[in-house]
Amino acid sequence: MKYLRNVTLQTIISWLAIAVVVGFFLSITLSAGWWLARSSREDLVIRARSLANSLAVDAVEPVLLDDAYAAYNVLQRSSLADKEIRYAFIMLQERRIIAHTFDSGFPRELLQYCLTHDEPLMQYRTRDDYILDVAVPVLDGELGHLHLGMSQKRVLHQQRYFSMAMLLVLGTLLAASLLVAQLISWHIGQPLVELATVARRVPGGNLRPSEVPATGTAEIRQLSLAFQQMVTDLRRLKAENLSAQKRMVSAERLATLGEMSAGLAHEILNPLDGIMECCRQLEPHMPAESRQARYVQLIHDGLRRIERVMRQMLVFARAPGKTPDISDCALHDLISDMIELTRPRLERYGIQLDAETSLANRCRCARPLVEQALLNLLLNAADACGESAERRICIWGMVRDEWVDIHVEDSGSGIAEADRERVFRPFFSSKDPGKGTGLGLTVSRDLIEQNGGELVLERSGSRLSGAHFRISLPLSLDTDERSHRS
Amino acid sequence: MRKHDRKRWQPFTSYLKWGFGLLVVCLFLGSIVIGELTFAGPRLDLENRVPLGSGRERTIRQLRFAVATMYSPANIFLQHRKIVEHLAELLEMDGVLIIRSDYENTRLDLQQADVDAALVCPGIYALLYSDPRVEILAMPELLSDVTYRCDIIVSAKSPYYHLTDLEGDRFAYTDRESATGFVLPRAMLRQLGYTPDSFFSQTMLTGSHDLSVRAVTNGYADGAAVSSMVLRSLYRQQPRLESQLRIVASSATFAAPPVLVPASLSPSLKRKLQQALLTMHETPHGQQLLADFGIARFLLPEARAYEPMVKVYRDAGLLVPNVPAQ
Repeated sequence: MKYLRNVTLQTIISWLAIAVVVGFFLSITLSAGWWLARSSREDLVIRARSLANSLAVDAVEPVLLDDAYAAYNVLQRSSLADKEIRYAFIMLQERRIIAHTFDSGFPRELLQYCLTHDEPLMQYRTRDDYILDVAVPVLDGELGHLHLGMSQKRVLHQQRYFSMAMLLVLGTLLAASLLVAQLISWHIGQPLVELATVARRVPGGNLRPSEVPATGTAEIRQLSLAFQQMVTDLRRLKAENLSAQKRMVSAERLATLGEMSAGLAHEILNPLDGIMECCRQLEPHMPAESRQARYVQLIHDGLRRIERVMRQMLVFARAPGKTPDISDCALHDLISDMIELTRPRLERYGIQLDAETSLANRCRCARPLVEQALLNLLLNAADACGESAERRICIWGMVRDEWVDIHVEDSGSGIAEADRERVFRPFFSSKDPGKGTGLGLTVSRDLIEQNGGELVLERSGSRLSGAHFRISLPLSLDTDERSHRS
Repeated sequence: MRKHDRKRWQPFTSYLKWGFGLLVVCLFLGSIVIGELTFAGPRLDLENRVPLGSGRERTIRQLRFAVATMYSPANIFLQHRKIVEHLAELLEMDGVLIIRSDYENTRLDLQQADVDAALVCPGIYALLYSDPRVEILAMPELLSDVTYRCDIIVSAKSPYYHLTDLEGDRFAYTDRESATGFVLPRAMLRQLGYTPDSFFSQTMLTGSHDLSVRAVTNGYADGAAVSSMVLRSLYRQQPRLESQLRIVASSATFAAPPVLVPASLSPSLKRKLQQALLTMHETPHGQQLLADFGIARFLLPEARAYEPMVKVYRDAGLLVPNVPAQ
């Protein structure tokens, strides 16, 4: 097969067509030609024997009467009976020729040949003919044999005409088959070559799908269309890759910023503790209802707020990969803390936050992780509400079987149907470039799943028209309740 | 045509050219092979011709024995060849069976000494009875159940039961010089008071007795006059023939066909030949050959035995004194 490596499809098909057509017709020509020649010759022999036997019966009496002229007359009739008879003669038992139809004597070489070859069927060539000599016995061979020389020119011509006819048919078929082979190679080979030429341009990245040729047979067209699709996908993936690279850089910067924030929070908390202690020490010494006492109280409240924010930042910036510390957590506290953390920002953007935190159920979770995820959802919701007229976020909890669900829904434009499957993919973001990292939802789902729960994008429209996410966490059951359920 | 198109077509035309070339070569080779295989043979020159001699040069070692066409030539050849070969073997000579087209030519062969001997119809002997150029050498003695006479035969399915029933119908004679095939039936008609020439509406000369029998069986003739010896021989060859024929009249019996020789034949050969004929029955082979023709043996001739036949010929006006030599 290695010899075929450099052979084109066109060459292979053309030579195959030549081999098949020539081989097929040559075998037919040879076998049919042989059969034709043989059957024609057999016909000739049958005809010659029939005529010779008839003449031999008529020749009996002239031979017995030793009447050479009467025998000649009998033989002479043969030439009238069949145009292919070249001669006739009677050779007696004593090897004497009593009569023949040759003019001017008898052929010396034929006489010698007949004397040495006493066979019923002989054939030989002359200068211009192929002769079949048929000998039949006269009076059962008692008197001798009557020989008829039949010309085989007609048989030979028939065979040659047949060969020529087959040659014409074969030539026509060969030309047709070569033409078909050429057309096949054009419709298969040429499109493949063009496709290969276009494929070489793919690494350059400057190939447009419309430049991919879509010609040839149905199979080649399918290949071309698949190639077009591949080029389209490659172009899209390349664009996404560029975008992802940009987001990676941004995420890296945010991660660095997070680490810096953690350090900063730590550095702030240390002196903050001292300041707050100072405030606590000052507070008893301030006259009640005095202006100083109110200022100290305001300072202390502000410091407590700063401390809470700093500690939230520390929790948020905690290093991932750490085994979560699962414990019972009050749903009300969880939601309230997150509301308190995000409320200033939401108020600053004019966003109304409707929260239902009346549930007293508890869930099993690592609180910092769930807080981080919930914070991400709230911040995303706040961003989504930025352009809407209503600017509202709803957050509520509910118990479903053995799960505690926390729903977050905003009044934004929602998530397009085409993006629903991609919304949890890393670096997917519907925000304007530079605003989102594309990691928020990915990290959030990861955090919730670490708690044995799930983060799901629900269908919009339950309360508001925007995006609707649900966090499901395992319900924490009292011992009595568990035994009751079981 | 653009350069690109030419480049496209170039391989195609190249293959086409090679393909056609290959095809033509293969077919020509095939044709030659077929031609040579089918029409193979030596090459002969038919134009170089030589004259052929008659091949009938007579040698002293030949015994030329003629048989009158009592049978058709093929039957004579097949049946009498063995007798001739047997006689020639006894005489240590090469036997040559001479058959002529009719009785007259056989008679002329005897008169002109073109043959050494001849087995002839008694009618020929009757014609040559007074001819000094011919002698009788031997006469056959027939088997006890065999006679030599003329039988008038008709088809067994025909309504003829007497010779006179054939009046106005078709009749087959054998030869004008045949006794049983021509002269005797006409003599029988004359004895019955009829004129032979006008008795039948149509007559034919078949040339031999077996052909006369065939003329009746094939329906070409309503009746025929044949030799009883030939008829017996045909019955033995074709047993079914007996049921197809009916004998409606028979002549008186006569002496059987004799063996004649030219008077000019050398006395030694004449003597040897006579001796061979007379002793032929002494060997089983010879006896069997004679029995096939209903002959028991050959006897020394008695000229008087053929006088009844001579009388019939004379009565018919067929004998002319001193038949001229031809």
